[in-house]
Amino acid sequence: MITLADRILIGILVIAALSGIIYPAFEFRAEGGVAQVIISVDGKVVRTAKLDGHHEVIRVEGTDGYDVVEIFDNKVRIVEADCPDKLCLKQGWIAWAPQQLVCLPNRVVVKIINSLKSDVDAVI
Amino acid sequence: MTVYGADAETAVKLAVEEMTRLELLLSNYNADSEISKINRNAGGTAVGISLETEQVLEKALRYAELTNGAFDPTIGPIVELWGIGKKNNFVPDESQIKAALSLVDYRRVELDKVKHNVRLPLKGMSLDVGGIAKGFILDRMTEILKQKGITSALINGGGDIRTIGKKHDGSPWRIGLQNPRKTDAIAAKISMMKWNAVDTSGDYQRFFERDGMRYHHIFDPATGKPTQTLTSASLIYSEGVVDLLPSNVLLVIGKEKSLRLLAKFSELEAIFVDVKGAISFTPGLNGNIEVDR
Repeated sequence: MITLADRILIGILVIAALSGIIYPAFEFRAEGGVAQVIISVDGKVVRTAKLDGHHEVIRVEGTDGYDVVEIFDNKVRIVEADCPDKLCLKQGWIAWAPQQLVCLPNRVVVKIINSLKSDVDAVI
Repeated sequence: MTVYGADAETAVKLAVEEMTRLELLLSNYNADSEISKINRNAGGTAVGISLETEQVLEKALRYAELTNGAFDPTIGPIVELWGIGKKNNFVPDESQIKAALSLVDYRRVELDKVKHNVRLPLKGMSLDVGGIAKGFILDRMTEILKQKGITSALINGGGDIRTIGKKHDGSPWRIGLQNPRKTDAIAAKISMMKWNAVDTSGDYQRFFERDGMRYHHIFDPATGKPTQTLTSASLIYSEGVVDLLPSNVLLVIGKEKSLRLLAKFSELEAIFVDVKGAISFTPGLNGNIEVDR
């Protein structure tokens, strides 16, 4: 079950992993940057991929199992996972920075750090 | 969490420590939390509680009274019965729901604000304050960041948002509200010009589908079943608002009753997404909201 603490902690881990430091705060979306997604396991970035319309299926080895991430049509989803609760699959497609998908049992986070059409600072 | 300011690292660390501390008091998922202890002692003796737990319970009982029980912190037996996300798409039968509902009644909670303890009089009763604990924790984290001199920050608690100041470029923070039925689409965007808090409840966060029905984690205390009125409801307001409501109550009572209730809360703005996907909002948001029609 993803608790508030987990969500915020994951957010911080991702920021820390990306920027190396927390201060100055990491700015997720550079103006005019390339739309892309980062995949991290337990706070460490294991893969980045562009959201440029291409189709790709990525198998991610998490801490307790695997997740399969699908990128298609400038969006991304977790399409398969061996976690017990499968909550990550129910999160569906995401396309907007800074939306993220979380598979907590496997400590896998898929986060859009830049998207072509994003003009929001958080998505809830 | 995005934070700008001198010594932001220390401020973030302190805020996270506070979050962890409060979650250890208030979480239903932690067997050692004060809430779990109260639940274990249901039908037995009163349990001594911290000031923070007392504040949250006091708030919860106030909300329950304000909403005539549409928000009920004693919903625990129903939450446990359904076990959304834990029981493999289990749908209880009417007799099971009836039995669990007989243990749901906020008026039975014995909160002693002099002795600082609380007792649930019937065995099987249980508290679930998840609906408001998150906001409480985020408020405390915001306070800490401010005390540490942070002038620009956004904390995303998954459904609930708190902001401090404006973005570092001087523009207001902008919050996207996910389309409840199309996860890669945004239903509305809100510019946080006048406000610094958004609380959202939706049927799309924890759910399962069976026989064409969606069963999710927000329950109507009157029926013991997941709500069927709205797919998402958000409250937008500024810190320090005296009278507040939990956002999940809007899903329980639906849009029309919510609007009547909100008429008494002049500082609260709201956004509703109904089961057909129609988006509506209170007039105070005009000019600071973009809706995807």
